[in-house]
Amino acid sequence: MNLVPNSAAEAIYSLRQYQFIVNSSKALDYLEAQLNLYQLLALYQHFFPLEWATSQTSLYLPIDASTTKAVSLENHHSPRELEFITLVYTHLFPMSMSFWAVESAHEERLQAIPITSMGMDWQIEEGIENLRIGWKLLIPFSKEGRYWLNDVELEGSEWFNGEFESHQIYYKDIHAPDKIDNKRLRRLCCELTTPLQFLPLALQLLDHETKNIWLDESPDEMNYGLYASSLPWSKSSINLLHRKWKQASRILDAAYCLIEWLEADLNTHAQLLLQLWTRALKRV
Amino acid sequence: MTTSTTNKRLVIYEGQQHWLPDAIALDDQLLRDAFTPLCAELANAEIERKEGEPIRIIKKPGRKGTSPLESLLTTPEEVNPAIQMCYQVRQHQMLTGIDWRNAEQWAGQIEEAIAAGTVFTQAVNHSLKALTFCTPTSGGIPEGF
Repeated sequence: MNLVPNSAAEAIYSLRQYQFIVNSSKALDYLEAQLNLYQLLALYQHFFPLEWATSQTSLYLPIDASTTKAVSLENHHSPRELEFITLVYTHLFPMSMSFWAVESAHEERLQAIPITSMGMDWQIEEGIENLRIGWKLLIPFSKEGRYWLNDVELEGSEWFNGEFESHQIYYKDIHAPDKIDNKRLRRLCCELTTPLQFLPLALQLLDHETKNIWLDESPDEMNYGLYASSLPWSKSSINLLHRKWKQASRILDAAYCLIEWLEADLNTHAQLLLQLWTRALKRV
Repeated sequence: MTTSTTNKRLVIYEGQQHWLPDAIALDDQLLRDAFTPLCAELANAEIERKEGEPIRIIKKPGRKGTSPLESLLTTPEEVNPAIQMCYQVRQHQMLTGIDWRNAEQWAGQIEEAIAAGTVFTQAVNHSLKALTFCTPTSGGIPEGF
């Protein structure tokens, strides 16, 4: 038991514990913050024992005149907790999310693990225009893409023809996805040695049908487009998200391999894609 | 003793005699309804009918502890588990600061307290709402009045 605080920050923290709480809603708020704090510290020690053992960062919030209110203290992570969040996103979750997650954690407590979509969010505003040409080519091959071009986007087929007529690829030449025998398509893809074998995976990405939490979620308007969903801070959540991220990385690598291949020689490879697509048509 | 006259019957409640029209006196529920304004507890009164005798209304003795007041008086005092845990965590942290060595145990205990505290708060709110909407009933006159 450490009866003498080691720092002013620790002393202030201890003194704040003398504040009396008799209101049940304030007690629950306080406990939620304490739960989050102890969950993060327990998870840090479990997942990164070496980093924990050598960490020099403070368990307590730095003394800052702008954050002297108790409420604001309870709503902020200590440097040690922030260190853990950075480690999780750097080593276990998508590293590209690390900066965003830590920035959010600086603002207020992350009561749960935020999950940002790492898949293809092409339906959001201007999303389709910002896609790489390889992805744009695949839009009418996917179910959601086809629906988008036919029913959502006015003059969707004209947009596609405008993008690809210089490569002699026309919307009318692409059979609708509902006319495709998916089993047959997968079998034909398995026989290929080119990156075209990854076509079913790339289409699953566009259709948000990978069954992977990092790839299928779409940003929710309720979260201001920041993150799609969240999971509680627990060992099982972190293990699940880590496992799913490894799987998602493999799917993304394969899909990007296909995109690179298509773009390397768009005219030739698009024709190969169309031939494969036609061979996978359902037989009447 | 005459217990009926033309279209009227004698009803006795707590020793007092009441002559009521047959239309009411012959029907148990109508009889209870007629006496309920005198005492709300008569809504469940027992009606005793014996040949040649007046109708008697007998107030059912209330079961012990079933009235809200008795219930409140007999219920042991409880503190919301969330407030209790809040106090426990603060007490501990006053002396030790953040107890990172036992972080996992604390997290488990706090999680349980949040769940129990939430249920407790909901129960209190529910009771408060029920009490607010409770129909007032007459009670015994306190001694000294």
